[in-house]
Amino acid sequence: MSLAPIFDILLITALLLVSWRLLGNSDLFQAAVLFISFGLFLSLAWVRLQAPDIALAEAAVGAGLTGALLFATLKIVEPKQGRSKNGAQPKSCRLDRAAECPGRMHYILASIFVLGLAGLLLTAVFSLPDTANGLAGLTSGFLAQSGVEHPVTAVLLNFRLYDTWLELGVLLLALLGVLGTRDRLGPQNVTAAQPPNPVLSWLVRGLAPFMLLATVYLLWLGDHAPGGAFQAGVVLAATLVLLWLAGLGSVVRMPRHAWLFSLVAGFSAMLVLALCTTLAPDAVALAYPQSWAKALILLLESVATISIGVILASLTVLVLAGEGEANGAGAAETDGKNGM
Amino acid sequence: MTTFHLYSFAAMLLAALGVYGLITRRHLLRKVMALNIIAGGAFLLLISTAYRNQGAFPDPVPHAMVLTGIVVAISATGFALALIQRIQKQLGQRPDQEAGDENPDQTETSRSGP
Repeated sequence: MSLAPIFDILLITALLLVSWRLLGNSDLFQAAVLFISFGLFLSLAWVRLQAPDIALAEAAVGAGLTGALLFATLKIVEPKQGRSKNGAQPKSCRLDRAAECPGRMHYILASIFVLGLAGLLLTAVFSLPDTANGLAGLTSGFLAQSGVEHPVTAVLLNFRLYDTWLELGVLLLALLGVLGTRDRLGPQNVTAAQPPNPVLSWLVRGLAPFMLLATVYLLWLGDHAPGGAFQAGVVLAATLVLLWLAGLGSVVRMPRHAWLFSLVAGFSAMLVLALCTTLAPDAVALAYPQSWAKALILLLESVATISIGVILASLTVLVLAGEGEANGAGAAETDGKNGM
Repeated sequence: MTTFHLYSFAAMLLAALGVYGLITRRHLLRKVMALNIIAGGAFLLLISTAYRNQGAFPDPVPHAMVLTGIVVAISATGFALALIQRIQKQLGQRPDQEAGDENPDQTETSRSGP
């Protein structure tokens, strides 16, 4: 029992040190590695604060997918950085080189602003009443009517279905944005970054069925324990990205109409539900009858899992693949021209 | 100093550090990481308040909000990184636009003297 505060302080120190180093360190490659460890420390904090749902999602998203995205972009944007052994440090912006760097005033003003912000946040946090019940009591009171036994799933897919619906919309928008920065529409013609490695593709061929099994298990688990559509969707996305990396069929080989259908399935399923519940007599939008709750939640969760998985996988594959084959040569060429 | 206070204090520091990084760092990749640190701070603050409000189980509403937030954060990060790649392709230079800083080793050694 007495060890808990020591663990808390160690964990918080680690979180702060890692984020300090990753913002201050001049080597971007190291910063990306530190960012992954930041995600892992955060998921430890979620476990400590009894939020296993978030720990599951954070470990997969914060450490896995974000790390992969950062490394891929780093390789495209700074082709030289990864290769140099002792890391040429072009980003060190020292205060004595004010002509090339943001001036001293920039740092001072930023510090004043941030200290003010921190002071405001601190007053807000410490002026909260010592005891409050929040919405925990309300949620547990209506849990029996929600159709599921796990409170977080009940909130996500019944009490606040609205949030989940719009969140699927945000995912779609982000993918549309990524597609908008590209010349081609959709991940179809994206080829694997490197020729498939036989060991990797053998391993992935063996692992993929188990990862799909884990997806379905997490989806089903959300009914009564930490798990659900988000975690299952993220695992599905990771599976699809791994399949792409191994040169096996993935989102890039999906038929176009199937791909489009999976993208919009989650959002449109909830749109249809919203329409039906609004048009029904004396009903509130998105409030469905209790007798259907369990089946509806399971259906919505399955559709949302597929949508989240395919959208995140397409987004990741598009970012990992970069701007296409012309990019590597173009970047090296312009790098040389640019030394004026 | 309860667990709630400890973690919300850490969340506050993380958010402040992220904002500072967002303002002072010039490289766009670093700015994206700073944004993610701000998000981490915000999530930590929400979850520590959920921990404080504990009855039989922690308040599930902030948990659901953070779960949604994590997925939104990754999609926003993906979009930002795609934009960075596009900027790099379009401008043909590194996204921090330090055109004069091509040979950092030389400038650093030449300036190391008094």
